[in-house]
Amino acid sequence: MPQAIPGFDLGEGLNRVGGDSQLYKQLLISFYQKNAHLQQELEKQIQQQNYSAATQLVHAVKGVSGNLSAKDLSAAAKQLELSLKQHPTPDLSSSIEQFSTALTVVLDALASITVDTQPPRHVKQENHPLNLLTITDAMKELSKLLDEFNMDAEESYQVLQQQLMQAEYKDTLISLENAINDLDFELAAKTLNELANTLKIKL
Amino acid sequence: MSITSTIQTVLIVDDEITNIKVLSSLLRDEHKILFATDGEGALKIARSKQPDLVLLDIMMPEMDGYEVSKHLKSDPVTAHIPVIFVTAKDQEQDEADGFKAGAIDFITKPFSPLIVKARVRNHLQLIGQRNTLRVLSNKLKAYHSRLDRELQTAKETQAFLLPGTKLLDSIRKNYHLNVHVHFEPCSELGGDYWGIKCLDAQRIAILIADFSGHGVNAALNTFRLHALLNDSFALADDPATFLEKLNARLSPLLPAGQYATVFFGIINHQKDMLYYSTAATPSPLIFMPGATEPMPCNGEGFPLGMFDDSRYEPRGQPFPPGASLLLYSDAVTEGKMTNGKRLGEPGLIDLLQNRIAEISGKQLLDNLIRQLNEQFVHPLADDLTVIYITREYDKDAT
Repeated sequence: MPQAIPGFDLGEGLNRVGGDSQLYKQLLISFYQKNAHLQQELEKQIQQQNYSAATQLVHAVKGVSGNLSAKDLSAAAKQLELSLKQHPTPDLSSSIEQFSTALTVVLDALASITVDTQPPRHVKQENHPLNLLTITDAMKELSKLLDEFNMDAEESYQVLQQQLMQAEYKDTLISLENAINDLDFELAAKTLNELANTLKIKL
Repeated sequence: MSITSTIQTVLIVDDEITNIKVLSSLLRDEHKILFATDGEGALKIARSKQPDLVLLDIMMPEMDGYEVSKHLKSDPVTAHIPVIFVTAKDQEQDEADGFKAGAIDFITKPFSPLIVKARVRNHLQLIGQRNTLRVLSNKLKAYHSRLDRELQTAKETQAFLLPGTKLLDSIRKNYHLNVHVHFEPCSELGGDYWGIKCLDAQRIAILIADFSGHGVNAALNTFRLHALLNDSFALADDPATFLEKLNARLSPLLPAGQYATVFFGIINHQKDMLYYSTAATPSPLIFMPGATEPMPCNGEGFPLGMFDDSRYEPRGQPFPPGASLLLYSDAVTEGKMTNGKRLGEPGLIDLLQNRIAEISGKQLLDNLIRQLNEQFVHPLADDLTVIYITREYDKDAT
């Protein structure tokens, strides 16, 4: 984690996630991935005079950037959201420009972090024998948590991942981890079931 | 009162997973965190998992937070789950609308970790206390319900001890005695008791008892008395001896400080007499044929259960055809009236005089009870029993 990231108040942002720098970094990357093309999407909606959709986009950025402590971006989003709600009375151009500038600062800064990101832990590959009993327990627990949309699934996944270091499961585990990180638990549950079938484990 | 120790569940609903993760990171150490990224999912999880609290984003595509909250509040399965809206600081109107939609509080974005934690913790503590109260309340309701059922059964059983309509009809037909009774326990179970027994072709025995206190304890004593009476009526030739023997058998069974006032009498048709004995009862009233007011009789004597070897005085009064007898528990004369006074024996006689010849026994009793009800403070503080017995003129007499 860098000491400073342009556009972010790192101290405040980290504090907001209880000092969990790994989670904070994951959220920054997620923000980058989701909003890398936001500028174009926003311009398109405004050009098509679809102000409701544009407001939704900006509102989402306002909340998330506020929580990540991208303060200038959050403030610019707030102003642009207000202008969009009042449109066509005020001129949008200055609000859009201010927002674009702040967004560019944040996305440029996050681009370098994304590049620096280390591969996830599960790419470590070992070939010790499978402990099917432990794996079954871990998979059943994860399946239950996914089913109830329980955030503890993230930790439960780590337990399972520790038990499955073999190269042949690498791609499935990456898919599973990505789905859990994206909070797409339905996809994660499906992936987990496929993995269970491969291992001939009944969940 | 302790708060439930189980980990409480918070459902976070937000279409932005970053917001879910930030809130979750703050709360997951203390609470179980479930999440949904849209309204439909939120409703499904709320119904199936019954979270203790919902943190609900307002601005979501398709179904917004207001709508989700309204659905939650309109569904009996989820209506009790408190909702805290998560909103931006500048949206005051959002807050007003949110309260209308059933929210209990708001958390503003960007989240302040300490405030979020404290606010959620406080609400969950309140919810925990409320749930504990709800559990206790349900237990109490179940207890009351069970108690009501048991008391109802006991009440029916107690009513079963008392003479029924069939017996009274038979007495009217065979002994030309009209017996009218008003029996009104002041709680579910009463401490008053009465019985009537045909001794032979000429004699009818009647007993009225009033145990000290009322409610379950007094009611249990009526069961004791009833059990004893079943094989004591055989001893009923002489009312005084009967009371002495009954007292000797009942006294050891009554807990200390509990006793009964009792009237026991035998109406003898052959001799046109009422032979009786009393144990501290209110004065029995006899209405002689043609008289305009009743004649009070002596009700003195030690209550049953006070001393093991009490002696009772045998008494007798003429009781020809056309005569009537009024027996009553002390609630009639000692019951508190709305004017703050008690009716007393003179007051009771005042209520009864000049009416005797004009009306039937049933009318007399109904009128008396109506007047008592008008004058008494309700609910009654003691069990109220009144028995009115009229000896019909002998239709076969020449």
